[in-house]
Amino acid sequence: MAEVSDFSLIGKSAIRPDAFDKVTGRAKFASEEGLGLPGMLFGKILFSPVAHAKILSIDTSEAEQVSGVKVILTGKDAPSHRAGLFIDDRHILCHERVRFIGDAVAAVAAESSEAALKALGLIRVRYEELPALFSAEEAIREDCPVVLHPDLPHYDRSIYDYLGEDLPSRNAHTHHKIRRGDVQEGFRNADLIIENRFSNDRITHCQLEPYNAVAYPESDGSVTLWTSGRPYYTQRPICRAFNLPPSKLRVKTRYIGGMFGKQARPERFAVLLALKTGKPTKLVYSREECFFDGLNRLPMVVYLKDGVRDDGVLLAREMRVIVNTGGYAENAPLIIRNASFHASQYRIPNFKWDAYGVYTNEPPSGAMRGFGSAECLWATEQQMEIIAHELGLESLEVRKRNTVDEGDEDVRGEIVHSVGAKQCLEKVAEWIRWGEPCESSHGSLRRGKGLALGNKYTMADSASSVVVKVHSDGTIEVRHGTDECGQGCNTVLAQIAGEEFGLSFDDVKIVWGDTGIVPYDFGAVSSRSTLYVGNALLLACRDAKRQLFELASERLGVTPQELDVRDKEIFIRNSPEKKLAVSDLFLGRHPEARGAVRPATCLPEGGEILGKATFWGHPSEEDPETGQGKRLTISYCYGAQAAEVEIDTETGIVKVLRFCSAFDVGRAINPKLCEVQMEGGAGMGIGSALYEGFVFSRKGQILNPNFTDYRIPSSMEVPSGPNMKSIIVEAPHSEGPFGAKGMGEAPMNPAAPAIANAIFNAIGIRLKDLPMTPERVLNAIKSSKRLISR
Amino acid sequence: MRQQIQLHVNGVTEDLLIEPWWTLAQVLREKLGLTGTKISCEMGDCGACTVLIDGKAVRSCLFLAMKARGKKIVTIEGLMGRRGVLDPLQKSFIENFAVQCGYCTPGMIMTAKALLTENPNPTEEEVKEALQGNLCRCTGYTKIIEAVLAAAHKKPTEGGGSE
Repeated sequence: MAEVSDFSLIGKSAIRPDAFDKVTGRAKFASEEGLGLPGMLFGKILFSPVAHAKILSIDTSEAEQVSGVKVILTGKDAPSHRAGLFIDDRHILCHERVRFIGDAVAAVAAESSEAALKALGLIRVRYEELPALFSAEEAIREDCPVVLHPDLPHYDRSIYDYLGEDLPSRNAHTHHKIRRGDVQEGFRNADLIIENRFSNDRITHCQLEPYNAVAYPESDGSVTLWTSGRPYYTQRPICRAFNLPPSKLRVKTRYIGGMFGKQARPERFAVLLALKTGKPTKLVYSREECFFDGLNRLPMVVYLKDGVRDDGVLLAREMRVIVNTGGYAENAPLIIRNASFHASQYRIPNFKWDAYGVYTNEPPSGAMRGFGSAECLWATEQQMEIIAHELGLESLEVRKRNTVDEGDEDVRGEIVHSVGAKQCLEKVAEWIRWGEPCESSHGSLRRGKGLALGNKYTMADSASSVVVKVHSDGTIEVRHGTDECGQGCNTVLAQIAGEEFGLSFDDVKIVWGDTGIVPYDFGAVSSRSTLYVGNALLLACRDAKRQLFELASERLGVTPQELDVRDKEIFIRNSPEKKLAVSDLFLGRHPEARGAVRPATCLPEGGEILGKATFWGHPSEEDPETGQGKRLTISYCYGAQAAEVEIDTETGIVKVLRFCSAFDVGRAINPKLCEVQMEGGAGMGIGSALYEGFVFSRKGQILNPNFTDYRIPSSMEVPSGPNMKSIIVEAPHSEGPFGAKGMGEAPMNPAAPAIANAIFNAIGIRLKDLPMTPERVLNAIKSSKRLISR
Repeated sequence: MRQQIQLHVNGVTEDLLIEPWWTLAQVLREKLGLTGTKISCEMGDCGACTVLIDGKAVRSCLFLAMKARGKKIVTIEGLMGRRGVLDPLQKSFIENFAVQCGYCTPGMIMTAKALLTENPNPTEEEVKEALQGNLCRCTGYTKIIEAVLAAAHKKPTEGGGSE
C-alpha cells in the first residue's frame, strides 16, 4: 500500500469547494426552488388527528370555497395501489383507515400557503375510532386483539421476501434470524450468564433544512421533481407509488441541508398535486410535520443474554429484538436485518438472533445514522461492562479479548478486513486517561469515565456509476449520482479524480444532483459514497485516460500503454520530456468541420472523451435460516469513543466534560473531513444519549415536535477545544479507493453506551433506557439508593 | 391589505408592498431574493434565520417586516466587502472546516458577527454561550467555535486535531 507522501492530493485536507457559497449565502438548497415564481401553487396536507380509526366520510365542499384553493384531493383521487420501500403497505393518501397521528388524509393546493392552511381547517372528516396499539411488546403477542393490517399476508414484499416467514403475530411483518453454533451449548459451558433488557425511544434526524419539494409538470406528461433529499433514491419509490416509468420522473437536488438517513416525504404529495393541477406545486413541512412524518429512528427493545468464561471471553450470545415500526413498515425490514451487523466486532462462537418488526399506531420509522447498529450497541456495549464488573475484570481488557482481528470470521460468517478496532480502543483509553481517577468533585456532583466499542458497515448489494468528461482545456468534470449533504463527498471525489488524473484540485469540476444528467447511484446511504463512488470514479478516470492515450499514441509514436497524463499533458512514461498537451488533441481539424466546431471544442475523431464506469458491490447469498453469508457487507468502520461525565445527583443532570473518538477509516482521503464526521457524530451521539426522545400522549400524539421541547445539543452541551478529540486510525481496505472506506455513520454508534458506562462509573447506577434524561437518572438514583460517595 | 414600506437592507433602500403579518425572513427570501437567510423551525429555536438589525442578532422568522422599518438590516449577503473581500468570520469558517451542510452557517456567522462587534476578544466559553441559540446538526460545534475564535485573532485552541 502506498504512503501518503506518494500522493499529491490524497491524505491532504483540501478546503471544501462549496464552503465559499455556503458562507456567503449564495449556496442554493431545494428550499429556494421556485420562490417567487408566478403561478406556483403551495401544497398542504391534512394529517390524521387520531391514531387508529376508520374514515367514515370526508367533506371538502366548504374548504373548496376558500379563495385561491385549486384542488383538494383525498384517497380516492390518489393511486389506488399500495406501495412501500420493502412491503407495499401504504397508500399515498389514506383509504378507509388511518394508522397513526400524522397519517395523510387529504392534500390541498392553493395559490398561497395561507389559503391552503385555511382550507385544511375547513375539511370535515368523520372518523370511527378503533382501539389503538402503541406497545411493540403487546403487538408481538399472538393474542393481541388489535390488528393494524389485516391484509398483510397479501401485501407484495418486493425485496427480502424471506423476512416475512415465521411471524409470531398478525402485527409482525418482519422476522430476521441468525443461527451460528449452538447457544445452549455455549451457555452450558459458561461460568457466568448475564441477562438484561435494554430499550431506546424514538429520535429523529433534525436536519436543519425542513423537508421540502417542488414538482413541475412538463408538457410531455413527465414530472420534474426538486427534492431536499437524494435524486435516484427518491426516484424509485415515487415511480412505484405512481406507476411512473423512471424516464417520466426527473429528480433534481442542490445542496442538502442535512441528511443523516432521512427519506423523501413531501415529494409524493408534490407530484400528486402537480399532476392533478398541471401547475408547479411546492410543499415545505413545518418543523412539527418534520417530526411526525419524518420516518424517525426505530425504538427497539433488546433482550440480551450472554454466557462468558471467567476470563471474560464470550461463549454465547442470544438476542431477541422487538422493533416498533409504527403504522407502516417503510425501511424497517432492512434495518431489522442489518441491525445484526453491529455484532461483527466481537468473536462470538455461538450466536442466536431473532429480530422482529411489528406494526403499532405510532408514526412509521425509517433510516437514521447507524441504521439499527447504534440501538443494538446501546445494549451490547453496556453488557460488556456489566460482564467485566461481575467478573471483577478490567472492561477494556474484556473488550480486547473478544474483539475481532484481521481475518476473523464474524457472527454472519463474513471474514473481516481492515480492522483497527483494538487500536481505536487503546487510543481513546489513553486520551481519557483510563484507569486514572477523575478529578474530585464537590457536593452533589459526581464524575466518571466510560468507553465503548462500535462499528458501522457499508452495505453490499448496490452500485455507483460515474462519468468523467475531459474538457478541451485538459481539465475534467466528474458527473456522479450521490449526494452532497454536507459530508463533503464532492471534496473527496475531486481529490480522488485529481490524484488519478494528475490534476490540481481546482481543475476537477463536480456535477451532481440531477437524474437527467448524472449516472445512476444508490446514493449517500450506508456510509457508502467514498468507497463506491470513489471506486467507480477511479475506473471512469481510467476509461477516459485509455481513450486519451489511444488518441495520443499515434502522435507520440508509442503504444497507449506507454503513456501517462499529468498537469494536462500526456507524456511517455519512460521519457517524460516527450509530451503532448491534452488541449492539442482537440485542435486537429475535421475535414468537414465548419464554423464554431472548429476551434478547440470537439475532437476531430469521436467528438468527446467521456470515461464511464460502474462499481458494483455484489453480495453473496444469505441463508435465510442461519443468516450466514460470505459477503453481506462491503466494509466495516470500527472505532471507539470515551467520555468523562459529571452528574448532579440532586437534579439528575448529566454533563459530558470530555469526549474522544477514534475510528479506523481505511485511508483518510481528507483527514479534516474525517475529523468533522467524528465531531458531528459525537454531538449527535451525546444528543441521543442524554436529551432526545419523542414523548407521546396516551392517545399517540407527539407532545414535543419542536426544538423547544425536543432538545438537540447546543454549543453548550458538546465539549469543545481541548475537551473534544478525534483520532484517525488507518487500516487500509484492500477494496477501497486508495484504501479508503466509509466512516460517516460509525461515530454516532458507541457514544450513548460510553456515556452510560461513565455514569455507572460515577454513581454505580446502570441506565438501560435511552435517553438518559434527568428524570430517568433521578428515578434510578432514588430506586437504587446505592450512591457511591467519593 | 398590503402596505407600502421601505426597508434598508445591506446598504440598499428597498420599496416593498407587503402584508402586515409577513415576517422579515419571508420578505428577505421571497421578495428580495436574499435566500442566504434560512428558515428552519419558525419558532425562534434554531437561529438559522439570524440577521443583524442595527447591529444586534435578531431571529428574522419571529420579527415582523413592518417592525424593521427605519432600521439597518444586514444579512449574510451583506457581510462581504464591496470588492468581494470576505469578512474575517466567513474566511475563518471556510479555513477551519466549520461548514458542512451549510444550512445553519449564515445564521451562525451573523450571530458570531454580533458577538465580535460587541466583544472583539471573547473567551471560548463566551463564544459557546453566544452561539447556544444557533443549532447545528452536522458539526458538533467544535470547528465552529474554533472558527469564531480564530476570526477574533485568537490562536486556535488545542485539541480537536487528528493524529
